[in-house]
Amino acid sequence: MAERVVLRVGTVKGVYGFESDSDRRSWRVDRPLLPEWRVDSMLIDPEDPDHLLVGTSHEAWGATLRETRDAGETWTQTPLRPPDQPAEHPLRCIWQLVRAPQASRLYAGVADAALYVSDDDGASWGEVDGLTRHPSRPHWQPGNGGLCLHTILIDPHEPRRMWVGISAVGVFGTTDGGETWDALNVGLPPMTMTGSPDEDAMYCIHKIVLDGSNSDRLFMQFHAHTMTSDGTRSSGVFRSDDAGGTWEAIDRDLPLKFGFPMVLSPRGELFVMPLVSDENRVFDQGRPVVWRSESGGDAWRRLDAGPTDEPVFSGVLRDAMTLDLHEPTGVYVGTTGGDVFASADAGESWQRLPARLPRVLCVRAETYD
Amino acid sequence: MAQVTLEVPRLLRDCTAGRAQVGFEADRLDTAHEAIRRDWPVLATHVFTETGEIRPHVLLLHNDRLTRWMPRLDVPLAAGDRLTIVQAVSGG
Repeated sequence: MAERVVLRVGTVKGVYGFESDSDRRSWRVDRPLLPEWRVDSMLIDPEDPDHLLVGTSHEAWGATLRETRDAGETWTQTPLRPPDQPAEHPLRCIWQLVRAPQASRLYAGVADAALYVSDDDGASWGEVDGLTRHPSRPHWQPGNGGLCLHTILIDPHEPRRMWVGISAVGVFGTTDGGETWDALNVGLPPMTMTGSPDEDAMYCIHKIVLDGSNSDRLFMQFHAHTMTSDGTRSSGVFRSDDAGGTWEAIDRDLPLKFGFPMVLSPRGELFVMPLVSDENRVFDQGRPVVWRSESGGDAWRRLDAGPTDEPVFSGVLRDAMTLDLHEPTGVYVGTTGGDVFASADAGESWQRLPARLPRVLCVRAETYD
Repeated sequence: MAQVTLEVPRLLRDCTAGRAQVGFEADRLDTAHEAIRRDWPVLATHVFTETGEIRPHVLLLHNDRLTRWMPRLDVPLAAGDRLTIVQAVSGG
């Protein structure tokens, strides 16, 4: 069993680190890193806890990738796009960083929506422009969080097979390593309120996860929305068993459909954390609740995640829930109110970690021997 | 060419090896922009947009004068002039 669990929490003002031994009951908080910068995305090195890649941005100064190999003592910066390279669309922030199965390859998803790739561990980057050449690109419209490419999934068995999720546009998949992409939204409820006239580009995807043991199976947290004037709401949680070709709602037993994060453990535990609605993006009645399915979304179990002695009227963003690889699974949630809740038993019991942070944007965990 | 000084705010000094001021040569304001892009590309990423404009919440001052409202940027620079990068109050 791993001896050390490291949790990194990216916020609107810096990265905060927590560390525990393998029981994950007693946590120490570390000093903040990059405290003046918004940390939109992170990638922790599974071999080295002191090695961290983060996507930073700032309202005034824009977005760059930063890397430390000494736990934040020193940093290097890399722009994803060289400053002398004119571009049609701005690069506002780096929403997602993912390590690919191929050696030294990383992917970055950014706003405005685009996919970047590095084949030298992040030292240099180029755009995977097959995606932004998709014919629907002129009709891509932003969601409330911007026009963001926030999810990148790679088939671990066939890495030329990939999927991305873009708000408020949809799912795109490639089988040729990114040269060509297909829109994969069949079965999702269309969203005319995205403002897009394009049937390939009117879906607000919040998060997608891939079943690593069956790469044809994907799960999605969708932007459940009011569909008719009488208040009928769309479904919010979907499953695909044909690699995104079609989507089927699996949220019949979930009382609330709207939410952002979704995570899947290697043991098939699927977690979502619903909020009241798209009009009110907070925990229902001040009670943070995680729902877990161990049946591929056919059945769900409610797990109360927050404190019972006071209400928590905050929410959770799409990258602010994560898992560790322990057994039982560790589950971690950072809220828009700056709380971090942790469970060492797959969501059965929870504790609040000992700090109140700025608004949490992303959470990542790693275990070390 | 005039030897001028570029003053760098604290948050961006990792782009200039920790230096608060760097010297460079330029004969006009517009060529000074080009020199910043050429000599400090990471710094330039934080100062300029993709289309080459100064970012909306960034100010560039020439001897304490705002350059944003200047009708033209072919303003001559003299030896000892200062260019200062400042985060606008609107930028948080």
